[in-house]
Order: sequence, then C-alpha cells, then structure tokens
Amino acid sequence: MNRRVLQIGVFSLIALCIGIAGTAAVFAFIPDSGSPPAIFDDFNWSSISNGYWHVNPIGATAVIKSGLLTLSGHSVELDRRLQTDPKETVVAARVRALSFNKFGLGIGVYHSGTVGMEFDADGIKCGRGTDHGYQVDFLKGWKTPPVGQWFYLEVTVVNPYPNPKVLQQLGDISSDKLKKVKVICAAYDSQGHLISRVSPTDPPANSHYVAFDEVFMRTWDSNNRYQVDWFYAGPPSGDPLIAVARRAPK
Amino acid sequence: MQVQTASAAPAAIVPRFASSCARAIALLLALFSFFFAAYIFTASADYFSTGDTTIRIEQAENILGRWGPDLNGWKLQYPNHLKKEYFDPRISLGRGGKTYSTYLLGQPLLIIPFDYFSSQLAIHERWPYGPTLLFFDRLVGPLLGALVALIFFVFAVRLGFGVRRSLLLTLILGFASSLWPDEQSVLEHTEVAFFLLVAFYGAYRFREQEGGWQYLVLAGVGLGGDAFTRYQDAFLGGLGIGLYLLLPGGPWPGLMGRVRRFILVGAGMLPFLVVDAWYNWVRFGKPLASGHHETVFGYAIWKGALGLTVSPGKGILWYCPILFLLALAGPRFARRYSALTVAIGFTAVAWILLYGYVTYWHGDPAWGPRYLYGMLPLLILPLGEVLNWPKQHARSMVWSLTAVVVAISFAIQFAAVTVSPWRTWYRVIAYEESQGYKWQWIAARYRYHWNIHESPLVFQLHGLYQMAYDGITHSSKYDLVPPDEDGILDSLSTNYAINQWNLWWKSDEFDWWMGRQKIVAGMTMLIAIMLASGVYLVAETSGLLEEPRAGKRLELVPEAA
Repeated sequence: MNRRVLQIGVFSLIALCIGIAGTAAVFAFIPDSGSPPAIFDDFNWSSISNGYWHVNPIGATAVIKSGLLTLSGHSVELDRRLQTDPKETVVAARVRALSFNKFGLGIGVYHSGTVGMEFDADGIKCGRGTDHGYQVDFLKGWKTPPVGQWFYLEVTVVNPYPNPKVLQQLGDISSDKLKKVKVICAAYDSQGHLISRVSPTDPPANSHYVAFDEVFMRTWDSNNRYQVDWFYAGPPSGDPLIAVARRAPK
Repeated sequence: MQVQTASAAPAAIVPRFASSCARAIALLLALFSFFFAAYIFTASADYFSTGDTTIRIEQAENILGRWGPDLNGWKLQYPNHLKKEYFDPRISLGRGGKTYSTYLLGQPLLIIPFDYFSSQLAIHERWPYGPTLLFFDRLVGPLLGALVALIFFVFAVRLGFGVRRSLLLTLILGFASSLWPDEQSVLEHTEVAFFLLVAFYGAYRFREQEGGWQYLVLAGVGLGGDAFTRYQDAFLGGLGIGLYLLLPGGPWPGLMGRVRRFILVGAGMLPFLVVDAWYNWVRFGKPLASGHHETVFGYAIWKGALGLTVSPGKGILWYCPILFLLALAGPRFARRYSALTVAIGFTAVAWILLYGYVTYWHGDPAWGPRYLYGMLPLLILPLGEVLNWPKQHARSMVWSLTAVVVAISFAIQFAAVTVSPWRTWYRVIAYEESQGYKWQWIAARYRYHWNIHESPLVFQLHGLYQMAYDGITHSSKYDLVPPDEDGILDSLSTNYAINQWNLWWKSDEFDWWMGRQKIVAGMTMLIAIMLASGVYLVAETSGLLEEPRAGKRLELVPEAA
C-alpha cells in the first residue's frame, strides 16, 4: 500500500481517537444530578439490578419479586446515596423475616453504618457508633422470633445545627467539640401500634449530621431470609409511616 | 530512522529517539499518555486499601487545607501496657504533643494537585466528597508508574537498545513486572523507582556519554528525590551511584575529578536534604529526628534475604519471573557496560541485604516483596539484551524462552491487578485458621512466607481462575463467605469487595457514587487515549512516519561481542 495513504490513515485514526476521548471527557464533565433529597422504593421495579441500589452480596442473594425485596443467605449490603434533610431525616421500612438471624437498616457515612436498627433473632435493637464502640439498646427482645409477621422500623436522626449560620459562626473548631446527632428508634407492629421507642444517650451517638450521605439495608451471618415491602428515607414529612402508625406522643 | 547502535563504544554515539526534536517529544508524550491511561484504566476499585496511602493523603490535605504538617484531629494514645510491637510506626507524637506522620513529603506533595482537582470535581459533579477524593488522590500511583515507564524508555534508548526494542522492553516492564501491581497499590516505591532511575540515568549520561556536569546534578536530584521519599532507599541508591562514579572511566579522571563529581551530585541533593531536615525539625524538634520508635534492624540477614528473593510467599523471583532472564542478559550487558553492571548489581545486593536485616522485611500486609520494587526497573534494564540477541547465537530459542517467561510474568501481574489482594489475604487467614492458628494482624507473626500451600501467588492465580469461572458461568460457586462470628474474615469480606473484580470500572462500588454513565464515559476516554497513543507509538517505531529514502536502508547493527 502506498506509504502516504497509510500515513494519512494512521493520523486519521489518531484524530478519531482523540475526538472520541475529548467527547467522552466533555460528557463525563457534565454534572451529575446529585443525590436525591428523599428516596422511596416499593420494589415494584428492578432497583437492585439497575444501579439504584449498590448491592454487595457475599454468599447471599437479593431478589425483587411480586413487589417484595427478599434478602437470603449470608451477607448482603444495599446502599443508596441520600441528601439529608436540613433538620431531620427518617429511615423507615416495612420488614418481615421468614428466617430470622441478622438484619439491619439505617443511615450512615460512606461505608460506615453509623446509626441503625437491627431486626434480629433475639429482638429489635437501636444501634449507633459511640466513642466507646458500636452500642445497641433493645426496643424489644424475644425468645421465639415472630416469623412471618410484618413490622415497621423507623430510625430518625436530628441535626443539632439546623441553622447553617450557627455552624458557620462556630468557625474552624475541632470536630469533637461539635454537638452530635440525636437518634430516635421506633418499632411498630403490623397494625401500626407502637411497640417501643428509644432515644439512646448513654453513651450518646458520636456521628456528625453533615457527614451522613447514605442509607443502607444489610444482613450478615447465615440463614437469613428477610423481606422488605417498602423502604423510605428522607424528611419526616414524606414518611409513609405517618399514614400507618398509631403514634404515641413523642 | 536513526542508526541503532549497540556498539562496543557506546560513549561515541548517543542514540536518538527520532529524526527531529518535535517527533521525539511526540513519541515521549505518546508513551507517557499510553501508560498513564492504561494504569488509570486498571486502577484498583479498592481505595480503602493501604492505610499508608490514606495517611499520606491526610498529610497532603493538612498541608493543602491548613498549611499544617500535623494530622489535625488525630489523637495518638497508647495504653500503658501495650507492647512496642503494637505501636504504629507510621504516626508519632511530635512537637506540641500533636500527631504527625513519620512519612516524608515526597508522595504527599505529589498528591496535593490531585486532591485539589478532585475536591473541585466532587463539587462540580455533585459526587460524594470522600470517595471522590480517595479515588482521584490515588491516581498519583498511575502517574508515577507512567513516569517510571517514561524514564525507563529514555534510559533504554540511550543504552542503545533501539527505539523499537526499548518500547518492547518498556512494555515488559510496565505489564510483566511488579511495577504494575506496585503502581496500583499507590505505595511510595514507584516514586522511589522513578527517582532512582533518574539518578542512574544522570550518572550514566555523564559517565558513558559525556553528557556534561548537568547530568551529575540530575543524578543528585534523583537521589534527593529518593531522600524526599524514603531515606533508606536514597542511602542504597547513593551507594550504587557513588560506586558507579568512583569506578575507572568517564570524564574527569583522577582523585580531584572524583571529588568534583561528588560535589555536583551533592549539589543536586542538597535542596532535598535541607527540606528533609527542616521538615523533621518542624515535626519532631530536631533535623535528624524521624519519629520512628520501633526496632528497625535485627532480623537474621540471610533469612531475610532469602525470604525476599526465593521464599514461596515473598520471593521476588516468583513475583517477577522475568528476572530469571538476567542469567542470559546479564553477561552480555556486563560486557557492554561493565561499570554500570557493577553499580546496579551492587545496589541490588545492598538493597536485599539491608532489607533482609529489617525486622519487617516483608512489608506486610502487601503484595510481594514491596521494599524491593524501588530498584526493580534497574534490574530489568539489562533485559534489553535478550531482545537484541544476535542471529548467530540461537536467537529464535532465546526469543521463544523470553516470550514464555514474559507470558508467565504477565499472568502473575495480571492476576495481581485484577483480583483483590484481600481475597488472597482472606484465604491465607482461612488457611491459618484451618490449622488451628488464631490470626492476628501482627506482621511479625505471619507464617505464610515459607509455606507454598499458602503462598499468595498461588491463591492469587487461583483467584483469577475462580473469578473468571464465576464471571463466565454467572455463578457464585467461588464466592468467599466467612463463617458466622468470624470477625476477621467477616471484616475482610465486608470492607473489601473480594468477590468482585478489582478494576474500578468493573466493581459495583463506583456505581454507587460515580454513576454508570460516568463510568462508561471515563472508560471510553481512557481507551481512546490508549488507542491514539498506541497507534502513534506503533507508527513511529515501525518507521511508517518516515519519508521514504533512496539508497540503502538502514538496519539495526548488533553489538560487538
């Protein structure tokens, strides 16, 4: 082949590749839509296979069928980015276990589930990271787990600095001098009756509200089979539990 | 195309990269772009790995954000009963009772531009700040890997291997040696390798090619860069360079000539040493204080040296089998560059002996004998000889053997970068637990180094097979699932994506915060850059871009015996 033609071909190919690279770079630079202010998933669509949930199964499966998310086996973690409400953020779900062992949901910092509830073989617990490690308070314990019964779980985290100006006025102070979040956990039975509510303070949670950026569900250890009917995270005003729960006064 | 000389008198002719300066620059730019893009493309999905890098990122952020050398907000407190071996050698209490890293400024300073860029990018793209910074800061690994490839290529061309063979040799270094997993790990050894190559290149250009005094200063800058990154490696490199400049040969003969050589090398090093001393003073109150409190030396040297070279769990020969080719290439290289061979050999031996004497010679938890990676490119340089093998000496057999060894070595590196090394650690720990041993993350107590049944190499290659099997058959047959209530294995399986491919675009970790569309855009961009630069490299080195000439075609001239 004529050398000149080959040279033109080579430079054309290089130019094409550079063009593709440039176009891809421009596309990558277009800002992301960002985290949503609230999420609600009733599992009527394939939210575990399309990237809506980040799913990390280890000897476990996550399946959506008939409007239910079923988590079976060993460990599986589902995470979802979330923009917290300036004042208060709620994480709530309708959950049941066909085989109890260990299930949790909550809100946290990337890769750190710092505040959450556990729905386990020995009861319902409210957990949070503290200066003395991860601590749990029981909302309800049981010797024979209520297999197959639906429950509503709700975790609330309250921002101690809802007014950003207050935070700005504090200036560049050490993070350990800032007030930490208030945590409230509540569990309701299938009729929406409040089973228990706790706001653990001994020891208090050590999470900073501004750091929260994800919500999660997870199972761990073996023989789990949990089903989730819906999952909500966002401001209290959008919490589906409002319509269901017979709330006792806070 | 230039005449490719590999003659017996290398000082006489300085091999060139291309027929013009512009094309030489384009060639080097293409080479750098190719490796930088390829290394980013194969970057690890695991940006939590190596707390060492996380500490260096903290250093960079403290310098960038508040001009502070201490780790703001870190409180270092050890219970009184804690044994010395439990102390973390990476951080130490310094002036004002503050916590400082014992690490030097080398890598943190290079991280700063990445940190600034990613902090702006996270806001612009509305990505979560933490993972964005963790990932983009770690691109300092690919950057340094590409820089190593670049200076290595320049060195190889100047050694007279020819542009085409130098490119091939650089590809072998880049993808069939431990440089690949090393740059992926984002530890500081890639930076050490880069500066060490710069130092030797400067000394070589001065000595063998009479490049002038500025190359001695360059050699000093290289050693200074190493002193800015790892003291001990700068010391070892200094021994090698010192010997190289002492041996007979090169300009400026005699005692005074030698003194002048060392003065110029020292001049190159001086700024780095001054900053090192100042940084020590700022952190720990004395120019020579390092902040280290652990026992560094005391291991049986012979045991450590054998562990670093031939042990089934840590031996460099198994992690980087292309080094076996030195048996073929070494003597030929030594005939051409005897002083350089002596200097490289001396550096390598000193390196192995010194680290063999170090109590934590293995550098665990880490992939392979990481402390040796800094001098690895120097050992690979002579392999250009096997690519230049003369026809009359069974060339086809040598090339076939080389191809087989390179393929094996590539497979090992490929497994190392595509499968999470934590998957292998999981299996090492599971093996130990199956033997009734209670695992503790105390490197001095690891037992796997001399047991082939728990060699990370075996586990890693097997892991590649397992991941490929599960990927192709869409099964989870080889998912690693920890036993109930086994905290160590459970934390490994939940903290690291050990059941997923280790490439960032293949792991679902990035879906979470970067989004699939951005991942696809990033991959497309990187592949296109690799293609553009790769096509240019092939076209340039094959002579396609040369204008046809009348008359006799220039051929490669094999070196004299």
